[in-house]
Amino acid sequence: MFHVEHPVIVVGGGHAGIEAAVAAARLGVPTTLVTLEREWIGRMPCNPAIGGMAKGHLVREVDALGGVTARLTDGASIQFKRLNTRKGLAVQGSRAQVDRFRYALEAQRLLRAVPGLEVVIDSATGILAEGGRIQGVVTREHGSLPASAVVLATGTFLGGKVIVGGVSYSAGRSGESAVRGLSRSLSTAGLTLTRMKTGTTPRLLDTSVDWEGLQEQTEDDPEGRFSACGELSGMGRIRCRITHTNERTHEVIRRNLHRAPLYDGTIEGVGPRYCPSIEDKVVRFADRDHHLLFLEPEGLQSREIYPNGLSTSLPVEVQVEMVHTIRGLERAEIVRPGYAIEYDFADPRQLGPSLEVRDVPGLFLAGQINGTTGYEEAAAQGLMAGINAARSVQGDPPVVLGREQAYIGVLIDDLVTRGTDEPYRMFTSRAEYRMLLREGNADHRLSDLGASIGLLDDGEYRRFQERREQVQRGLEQLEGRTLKPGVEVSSALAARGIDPIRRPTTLRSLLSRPGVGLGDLETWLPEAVRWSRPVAEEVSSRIKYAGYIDRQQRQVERQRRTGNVRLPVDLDFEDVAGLSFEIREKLSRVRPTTLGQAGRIPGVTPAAITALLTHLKLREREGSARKGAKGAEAQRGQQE
Amino acid sequence: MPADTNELIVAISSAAGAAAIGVVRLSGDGAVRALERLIDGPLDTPRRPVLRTLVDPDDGRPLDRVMVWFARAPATYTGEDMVEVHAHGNPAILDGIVDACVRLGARPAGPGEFTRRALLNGKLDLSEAEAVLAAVDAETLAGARMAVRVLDGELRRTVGSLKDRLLVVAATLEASLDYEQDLGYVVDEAVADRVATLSVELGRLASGVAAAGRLVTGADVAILGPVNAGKSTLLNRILGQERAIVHEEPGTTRDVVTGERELAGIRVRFHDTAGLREAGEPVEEEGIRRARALRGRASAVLFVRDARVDGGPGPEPGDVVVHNKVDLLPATADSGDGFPVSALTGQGLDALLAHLGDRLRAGDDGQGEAVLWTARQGETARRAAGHMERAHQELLTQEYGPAAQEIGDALRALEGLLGIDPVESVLDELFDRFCVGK
Repeated sequence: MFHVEHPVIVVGGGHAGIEAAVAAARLGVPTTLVTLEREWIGRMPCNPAIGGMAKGHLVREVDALGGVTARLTDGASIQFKRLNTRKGLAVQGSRAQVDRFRYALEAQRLLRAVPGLEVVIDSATGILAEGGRIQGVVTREHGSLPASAVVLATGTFLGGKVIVGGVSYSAGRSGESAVRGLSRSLSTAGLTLTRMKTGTTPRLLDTSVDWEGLQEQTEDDPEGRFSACGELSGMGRIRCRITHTNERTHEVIRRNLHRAPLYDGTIEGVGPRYCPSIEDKVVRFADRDHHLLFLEPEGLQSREIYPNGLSTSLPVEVQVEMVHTIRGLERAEIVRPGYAIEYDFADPRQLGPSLEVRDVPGLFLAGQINGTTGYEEAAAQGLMAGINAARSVQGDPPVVLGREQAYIGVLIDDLVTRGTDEPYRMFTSRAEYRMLLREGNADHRLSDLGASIGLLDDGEYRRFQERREQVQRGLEQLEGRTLKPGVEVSSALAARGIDPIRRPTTLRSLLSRPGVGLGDLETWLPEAVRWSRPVAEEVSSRIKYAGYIDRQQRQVERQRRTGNVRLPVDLDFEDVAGLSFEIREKLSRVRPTTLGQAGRIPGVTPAAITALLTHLKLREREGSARKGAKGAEAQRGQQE
Repeated sequence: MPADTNELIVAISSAAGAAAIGVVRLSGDGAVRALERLIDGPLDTPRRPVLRTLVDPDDGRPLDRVMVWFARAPATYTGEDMVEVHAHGNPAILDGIVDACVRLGARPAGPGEFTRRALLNGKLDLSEAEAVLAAVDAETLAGARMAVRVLDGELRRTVGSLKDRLLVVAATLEASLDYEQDLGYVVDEAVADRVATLSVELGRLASGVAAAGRLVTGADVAILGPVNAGKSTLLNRILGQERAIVHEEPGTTRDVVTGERELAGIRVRFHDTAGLREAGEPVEEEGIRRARALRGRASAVLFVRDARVDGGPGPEPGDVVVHNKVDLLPATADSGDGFPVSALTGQGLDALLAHLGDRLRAGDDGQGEAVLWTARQGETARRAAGHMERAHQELLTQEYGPAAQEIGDALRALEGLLGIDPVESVLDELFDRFCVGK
């Protein structure tokens, strides 16, 4: 294909790259996506699922801003589950099993349909960064491609090395070649790169699994979806099944530990603590006699089964022996062995909150290159990097989400402020304002922003506005209807297991009682039955958690007062009196943009924050007349 | 307590207790305007002390004859507009002035807030601020504060271990939320029980703090009861001096009469009050209102009744009931729960005072651990206890999100005490040790 010069180049066709490229192009900036193979676009190299706690939140946020991951997921969904359903609405999440082949096809189709987006099949071997600014990328076959902004979303391909037992080879994923040269080019541009490690499970042939008697895990929400709009896949539904390892499995692993690359020194990179390989689990949780495994079909047509929980880089023959000790897998055939992969990542503290490399303006990094793991984390960063790359070309200020605004904000702030030394995964516990950041209100939090950026299309935004109005009306109806104590009301309440009321009570205050749901109020608010689920849940959440929501909003306000104090770009931490050498160094490395961000850097003490604040105040006063200083001295004398 | 600078704040800047002169300071936007409302007239010359009558901004009632002056930003201690009111050193008057200022929109200042503003406005640097602290420390309560520091290590250990246990519960709950799959993190009854236990222990710690605070700052005991029960006689007997006027006419005492003595190593301020009855006239009515108000801030209430009279206003739960005038009763009479006392002869007084002393030394619930601690820290522990109690309720109703938030807030409160939380408590941490008003 003949390449036309485009202001934005995105390198990588994974979940970060797709979001980045689509966002930049849809914002009106012609964009080139450079990727190794068209067929690899939108692949899911690990488990065939999108969402999960906190990750589902990210997907919905991406959707509310106008990103594509939620729609792609819905279009390939073959099972949808609601998580934490018995723990209250505030902490629920969603996860979809997807047909990973369908997903990739949909992604490729989408890229073809976006105007102003061109896909170039090539390998990026370096960046052009002359004169302290990005100039473009160097490719193997197309030579130098000039650009004003570049988003690198290289996943595990940057210096990727696949490791299985004693074997290791350069690869971006199993069977896909790695990207070389680019790492060196980034180092030359001044970026610090380190190694990280992740891994995946062996894949099993479904016809070789003995399904008989294995516990089933069925769909609980066939109508469930991530995107507020778009189509559901309409595809058949799947069941997953559950089995578990046992003492014999663990014995096989222990006997072969000396051959595990994780333990024999082959692997230098740090792996994720929360998604450990099976050999890691056996070592670290030695007292457990079994670990659960979820057998997930990779697609409707696929013959491959993904045994979730069995990630390993043991030698292939050990993988076979290990798998055969497991109930239902006694004769299972391994189609593709599990492997570990090591890759380069750039310390994300080199980035500003827009995901732009501070020392190379115009260069944005997104996804695993920033030390994260997960499709959803990648997509979220890709979206923000794509938006901000386009805006930098257009001369608009970057869009930066706050920690109180979105999980995306938490994710990026954590990365650029605290850095990470293991693959970073999103958890709800990373968000201090969890009661504000519910999965169900992502659209209410971000749709206005998505529309104002220009990424959320008009139709979707209108539909959101309708939902918002319905929620408002619902709240008003609940507030406006009052029950009076009486025999009839009492017996109607009693029939639903609700304590009687003693004084006139609004439906709103009745709903705020623990254990009372909208369904219980049907007699008095029949129209609630017609509310869509998102509307009903949002109404319930706002009423039930009103006290907590208010409290967190007050915390946000408090935090804003000191936390949002901006640190000037030209602030030299060497000038700030009272900072220790270590703290100066930490601050200089991260270069926080606000006082709040400075306070979140590990090791930065309250005293250091005070010193910074004092310095800022003094700086503010400099230049303004210092007259009266003498008077102040006299005044102080008088005070003491 | 990070706050907007320039928000109007007010505090009594002189030492607590009665003195010849007491100083109330205001700092921030609108300080001068507030003062002009209080003296009901304009002020034009800064830095010149003038004598004025201070009036209640709502009803124009005179509060005190005072000396006032003001200064304009930035040439002030705090770098903001400042006002000082030098009033008569009666705590009731000073409280009244602060109250009037609050009604005019001022906020009571936090500990060290004036000095913090001076720091934030570039009037002091950190080392100067610390020097102010040192000076304040040296001139007041030196011994007691020394004790606070010595015992600080013990506090850290106590709070630290509670915090660690809380962290384990929090982590279990968080794990159950974030890992939908099997990792053995289950929130079961045992976890809920641990949350409840922590709430109780934090509550006990807070009570102990209240008791310990009394060692440092003394305690207030209110003497309440129906008219003519002998409250003033009891006050005089307790103090060993004729502090209050005693008369057989009911309703003799119409304002609060205060006297101080030591009891069980604590400075105790006894407040004799107007007898409770349907008031006959406005002054007495105000006296009764003040008597009731004392209930709220007293560490203990001596509820005095005439042992010979039934009915009338009764004690509230927790009051120490004094059956007075037992010398006038037949020896065999049984007066029920409480202390049979004759304020006139001194009969039964030792037993009453011994009980009162024990009670002031112990925690509020009688089982607090007497860790010496500041009231502010006690308040934080109480808040943490409340969070944990609510967390327990939320867990019982399967609302894990709110439960996790309550536990998180409790954790943050304790971390704030230990100086761990970097942003929220940055400045509080440093200025915690200042007296309010300095």
